[in-house]
Amino acid sequence: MNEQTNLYDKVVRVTNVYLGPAADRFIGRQVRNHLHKEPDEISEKDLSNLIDWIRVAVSLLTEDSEIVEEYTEQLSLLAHVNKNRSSNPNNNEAV
Amino acid sequence: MLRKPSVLTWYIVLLIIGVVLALVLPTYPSLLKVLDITTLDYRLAIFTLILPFAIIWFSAFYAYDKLEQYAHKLHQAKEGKAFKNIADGVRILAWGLVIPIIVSLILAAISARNPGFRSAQIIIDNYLMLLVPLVGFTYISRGTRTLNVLVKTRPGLIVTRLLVLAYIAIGVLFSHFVIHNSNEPINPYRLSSWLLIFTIIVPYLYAWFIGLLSTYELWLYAQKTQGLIYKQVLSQVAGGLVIVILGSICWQYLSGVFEAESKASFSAVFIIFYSLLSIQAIGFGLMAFGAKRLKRIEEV
Repeated sequence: MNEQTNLYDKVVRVTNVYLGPAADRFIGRQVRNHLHKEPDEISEKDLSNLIDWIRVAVSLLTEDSEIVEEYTEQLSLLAHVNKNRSSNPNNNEAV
Repeated sequence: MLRKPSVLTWYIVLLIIGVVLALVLPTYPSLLKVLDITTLDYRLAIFTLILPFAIIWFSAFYAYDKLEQYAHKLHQAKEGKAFKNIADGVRILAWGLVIPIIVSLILAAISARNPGFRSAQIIIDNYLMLLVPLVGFTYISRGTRTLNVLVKTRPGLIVTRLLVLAYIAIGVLFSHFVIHNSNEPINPYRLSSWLLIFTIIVPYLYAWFIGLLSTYELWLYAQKTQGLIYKQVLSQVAGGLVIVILGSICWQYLSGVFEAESKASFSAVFIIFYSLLSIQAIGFGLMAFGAKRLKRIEEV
């Protein structure tokens, strides 16, 4: 599995906690509609932009701002972990 | 090429047909005698029922429209077929609130002119009433079963036992009341005991079991599925469907037990049936609200 696909899977895995079976389709739509890419093409550079779009979209789905914050924080952690891993290629611990 | 009429169009057409028939067609004198009311009282009662019925029918049609739209969004997803089946079942329940009333009004008018047709009218009314939960609950059950397979869950032993116990109590009491009523000097069902047992009681008991089981399966799916936001929204749909199915079962139960010739007072029957319909309307409303939010998850 390449790194880009891995990142997409990680984003979907985090999203699954909030959107369940709709997670894959939700992230796929955000990537295609807002980043104009195929889901398996996203990279770390896209993550921050993607998180912004996700925050907007999820705010339309729930009025519970705590859930929105928690979700986007989890995604942001993903960005940090990926950044740390890039700077330390020996660290292969999964998120 | 002609466009398929929208759900709203169907609703308006059926409502107009129902209102016109209710206000124009004659009713049979024996009903007025049993209820101890005049024709004017009957028309006034019908008139006061128009607005509540319009609201109840609207909530049912709106709910199945929203569920169908959501199922359409999911057509390629794993759970798409399950929600399509549930939407089909809810559509049958929604149409089942309207069509039997329209048919019954027409048949009652025929009976009013031709009293010999009264028995046929009652038999057709009863079978039509039975057909709605039988087909509707079967579709819903197919959907909820598929959802349970997807989350790899099965009904628990204790809940299944309680469900069977409640179902047996409901079933035995229903059978007792129906058989007891059929032994009255004027059999309100116009069917022999054997026909009554095998073509009315058994199919109703089957439909109710399927209905009760689907409410439990849907509740299980809502508990076992993942996703904080998804679960919140799904619980609204599940809660709405549970209310609709239970309300529908109570309605059919009481319709079967209190036939037209029963000794219950007009106002008591009026209040009980109106309350049950209102409960179903709340269920349909909750379901529509949840389905709308589920659909939004698939759109943003």
